Amino acid sequence: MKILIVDDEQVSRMVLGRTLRALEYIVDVASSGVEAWEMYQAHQHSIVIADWVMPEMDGLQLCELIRGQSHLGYSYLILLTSKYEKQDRLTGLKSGADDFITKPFDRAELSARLGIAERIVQMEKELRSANERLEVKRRQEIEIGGNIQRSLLMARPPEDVKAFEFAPMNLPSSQVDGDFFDFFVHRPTVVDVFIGDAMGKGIPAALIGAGSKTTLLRSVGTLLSARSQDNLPSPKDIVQHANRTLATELMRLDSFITLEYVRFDAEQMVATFVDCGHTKIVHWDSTAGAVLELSGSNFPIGFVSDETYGEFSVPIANGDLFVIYSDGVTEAMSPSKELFGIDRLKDIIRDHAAESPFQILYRLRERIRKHTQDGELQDDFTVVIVRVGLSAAEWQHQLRVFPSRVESLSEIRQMVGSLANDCGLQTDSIDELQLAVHEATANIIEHAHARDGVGEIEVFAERTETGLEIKMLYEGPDFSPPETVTSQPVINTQRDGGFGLYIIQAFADEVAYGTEESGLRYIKILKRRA
Amino acid sequence: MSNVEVRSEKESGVSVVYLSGQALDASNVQRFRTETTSLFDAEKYFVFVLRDLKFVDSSGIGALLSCLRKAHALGGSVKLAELPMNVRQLFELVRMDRLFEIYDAKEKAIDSFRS
Repeated sequence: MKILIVDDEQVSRMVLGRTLRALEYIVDVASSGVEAWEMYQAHQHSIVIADWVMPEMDGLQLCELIRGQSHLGYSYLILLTSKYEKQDRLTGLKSGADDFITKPFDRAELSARLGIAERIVQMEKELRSANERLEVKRRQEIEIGGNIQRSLLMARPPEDVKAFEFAPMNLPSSQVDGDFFDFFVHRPTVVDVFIGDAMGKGIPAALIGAGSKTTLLRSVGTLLSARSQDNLPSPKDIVQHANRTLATELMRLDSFITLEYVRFDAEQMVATFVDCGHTKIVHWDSTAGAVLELSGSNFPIGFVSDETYGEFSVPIANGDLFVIYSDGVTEAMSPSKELFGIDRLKDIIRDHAAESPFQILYRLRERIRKHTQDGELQDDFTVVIVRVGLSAAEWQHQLRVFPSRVESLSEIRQMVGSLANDCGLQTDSIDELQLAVHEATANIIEHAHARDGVGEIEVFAERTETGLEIKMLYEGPDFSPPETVTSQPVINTQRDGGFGLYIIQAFADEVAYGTEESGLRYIKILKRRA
Repeated sequence: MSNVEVRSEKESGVSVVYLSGQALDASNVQRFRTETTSLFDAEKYFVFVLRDLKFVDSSGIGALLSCLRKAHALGGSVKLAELPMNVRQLFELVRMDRLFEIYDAKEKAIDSFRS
């Protein structure tokens, strides 16, 4: 183990150095605090023995400097004190010293104290590496959890539905939650939607959520196969069937799930709910022009295995909205610990009921981010907004969330390609838009600092009168170029970067860089129909 | 992650490299760079055939440029052939057509090394 000794008295240095070498330590020697600090920065000695009283930089100051560099690892600091000088050991401890040795020192005592120092340095090293391994594990867990979430817990809105528009969104919290949702299309006019929330956090909750979702879908399938297409199993029968399968397992795992199971039926113009301890549904009743709360009174899934579940129905009309969500929405907390609450949610719905569901979703997400300020979500943010509308054939807005990593690039290109196609853009324009969006996204992924390595990019699309506008939102720095990039980058074989901004500028009809009220940054790219 | 496949064959004394797959972009350039390094151990005259490569971005261009640079350093060259429409468009936009010789057909690119 390497020891650094620093003393301004030559004799003292020599005696100490010789003693330590005799004890088989590797020793560096400095004659002043300044010199010691330089040597320490170069070698990070495990043990530093410093004289307390020295001109210029004394032992205390040296201790403070070394403690300020704690990321380099822990060094054990021993201050040399003199029998003849009265020094306050408490001051020494506060400066970061671990031990004191009084001059002239006793060799046996010195050896014993260095033994302790070595043990502590060693333990600290092991602790540090254990912590690093844990941190790696934790990141892996977040990654695994995130993958389960994206692949198993969430779903894309159904496409072959004409009577309803579904706008789902999930933003994962830094810990994975057990939120899940899915759709089941019986007919283009009859669609089941469910949102669930498994108790707990992390991978266990994610797995329980995934298992529950599978069971629910299987229950739908099992009950359907026993009937004809015109005679659908009721939502309460489906939930009851799933509960019978799940309850024992959930009780054994000491867990449960809250669930909202809804059937939207545009043939009967009715929505039927089975609410199992879930958050209240917000309903925009377009006929009455009022925002209502809907809730039932069933136990969550997994409380009682032979529970009989009840359902209730409300009439629906074109233009009605239903907001189904997890408690991560209403319980999003401001820095002053104020919950977002259902009233704010209702206000947004009331004020923007005429807008497209994805637009409302976008506003809701903005308001929640503004509310929590740093954007950090305690729980998953999971929402499905449903618009009733027999003519809901053309979407106005689309919104999807992607993990901020290179693997998302091809998915985002695909999304943009398919939306641009919907908007009637020509093949050339689609290629150009895809490339411009791709370059902007690649910039975000490369440079935006995602929290914990798990950030998201939200892609918000708007069908405009002239074409398609794609807005990419992210947390991180502003990428607006210093001035509009109009000239081509210098071309030579000695460089291989710097085309990105130019490509965006050249292939987009309009580009804007900006910041939302919530603090999210965005890059917005517009492409017009030729 | 997008996939890109690299397969090379010797044709008429020139190393013909077929790039195929979804994309050569930010998601896989690093792997592409590693995989193509060994190409330059034995050869210096290359034709890259891009007809089955669906998408190239600015990082992809960067990777192709660095191949060109390596070939130049050996006293050789990399020529490109059979670019899909969208890739061609991009190359023209960033004026890569000034640095790379680009051919409609693989054979023409190979022939150009003879003259």
